[in-house]
Amino acid sequence: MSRVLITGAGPAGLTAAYELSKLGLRPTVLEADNQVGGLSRTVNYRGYRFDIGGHRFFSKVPLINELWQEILSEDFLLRPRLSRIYYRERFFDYPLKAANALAGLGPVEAFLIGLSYTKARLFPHAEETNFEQWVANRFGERLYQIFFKTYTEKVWGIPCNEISADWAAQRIKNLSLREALRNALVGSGRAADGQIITTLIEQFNYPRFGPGMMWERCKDLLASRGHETVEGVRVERVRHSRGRVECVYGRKASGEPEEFGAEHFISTMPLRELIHALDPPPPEEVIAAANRLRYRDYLTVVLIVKREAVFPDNWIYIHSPEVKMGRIQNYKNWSPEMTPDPSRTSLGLEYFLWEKDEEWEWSHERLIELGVKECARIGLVEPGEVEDGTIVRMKKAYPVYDQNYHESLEIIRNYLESFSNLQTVGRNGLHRYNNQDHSMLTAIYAARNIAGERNDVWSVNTEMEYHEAGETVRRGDGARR
Amino acid sequence: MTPDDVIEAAFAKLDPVALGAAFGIVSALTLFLASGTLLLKGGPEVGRTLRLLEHYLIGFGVTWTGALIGSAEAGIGAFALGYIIAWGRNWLLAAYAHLAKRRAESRAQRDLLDKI
Repeated sequence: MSRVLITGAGPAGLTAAYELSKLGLRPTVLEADNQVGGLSRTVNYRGYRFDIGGHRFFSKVPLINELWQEILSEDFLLRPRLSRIYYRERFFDYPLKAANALAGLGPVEAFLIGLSYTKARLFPHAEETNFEQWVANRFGERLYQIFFKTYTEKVWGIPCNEISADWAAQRIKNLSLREALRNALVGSGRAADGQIITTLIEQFNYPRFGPGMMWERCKDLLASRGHETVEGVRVERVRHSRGRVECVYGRKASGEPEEFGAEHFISTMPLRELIHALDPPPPEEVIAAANRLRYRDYLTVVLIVKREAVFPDNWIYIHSPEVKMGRIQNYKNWSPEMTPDPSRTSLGLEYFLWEKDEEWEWSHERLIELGVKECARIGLVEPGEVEDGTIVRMKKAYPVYDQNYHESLEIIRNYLESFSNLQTVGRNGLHRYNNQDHSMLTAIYAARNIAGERNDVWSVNTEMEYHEAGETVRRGDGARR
Repeated sequence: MTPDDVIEAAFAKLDPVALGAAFGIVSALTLFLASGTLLLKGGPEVGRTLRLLEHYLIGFGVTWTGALIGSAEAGIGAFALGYIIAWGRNWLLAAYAHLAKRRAESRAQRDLLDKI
């Protein structure tokens, strides 16, 4: 039985291990943190559970849906979705509803939006190289300015005209003509095989105790099959020779070094970190490319509020530029069991930052104070109602699609493909803004590659057929990438 | 047959020239054969009803020459009709498909913020 070492116990890493265990291989997972789940973990603070962002469980990939059901079964809840936008001291339903938006914006603004939309349809930007052009071409300049620009720039920290249009194209797939006709004639809720598809817009699945429950259980299942998940080990070096990775050197929190050998390696580490960990180091050009990759960091201020219900939404987008937070999660509305006390509500105020930003280094007290002040400013919570709070920081939560990322990624990918026993998967392992399901799919394909299949993990979430049909793409040239 | 196969068959383009030619040939032959049959049968008043087509087809008559002229005209007219039908159907289906695509794309973009 081949041994496989997986770095990272997020959705991709644990899915790879789970699939490998099914294939009769011997996976070991290394995790730098003391908790599994990566971006999909659920943090527990005095019985209050919360996500790193909100993780709706929805996939068009049958394989992934089956896996989720297999791991969680009856603990998988079907939850209604309600979300709004806060902008100019008003709340707007999201997805936007014409009557509600008209009432909120007023007839003059609505008329101007209509004119702007018409102009965009008649005279669109000739090229769509950045996100601003992409959105303006579809919604009109005015609607873009009102409902997309501020929030997008809060999340990504760079002007919309510096975000590559690749990002939008990947996240919002262009439909084929055939698919559009199928939607129109057969109904949008059906896939090619006639299977009914629910959408994320109205409802979604969610684990009873948050997304981390999925990954804690996955870890337990792996343990029951004799496969270890080693937490608190930070990978420092990845030793390689003659196109093969030989072993990984990690360091425990205690400072004790440890060596892990295997026949195959799957990395979910951010590509920049992986490239820097390689020993001997890669060519200068590859290191320079890795250094050009950028990541957006994420920080949540969790507030425990002495009120049974604060607002009915799962989350609210905060577009108003006068506050720094980008979104507020109401965890109780995701699952009632996220809060231990029904008379209390836990809110997650989400801040999208760079590690170099001064707020990143602020103390817990100062950040909680900021959160309380901003909540009061938009009229959601009175400062006196907040009885407790905590902070969670998550580095490298979002791979940035700036105008240079694609070129850098190609250089890194070409170099990594020279290793015969190393594959990279997951959001940061591919530097792709994948949702959980696509990250998991890359991991399944990587695991199956080790068992002899030939799947192109880099194609996942780039080709419509992948997540529509959940089919395995096999490379015609026989090479594994 | 999957829904996609049905859609593909239903939305396949008609070739205007082919449909026009089919209409034209069938019409010309039908008229010529009808006239010819009546001429061969003979009688006191050959093709009394068919002769009414003279109002539409200049030069047509229930004679061998008139049948040739009328068939050529009927063929040309039917070709034009078939061509227009095929072209019009293609245009309508393309317009419908375009609208369906626009609607589907709008639906896909409805929750754009969720994807940011």
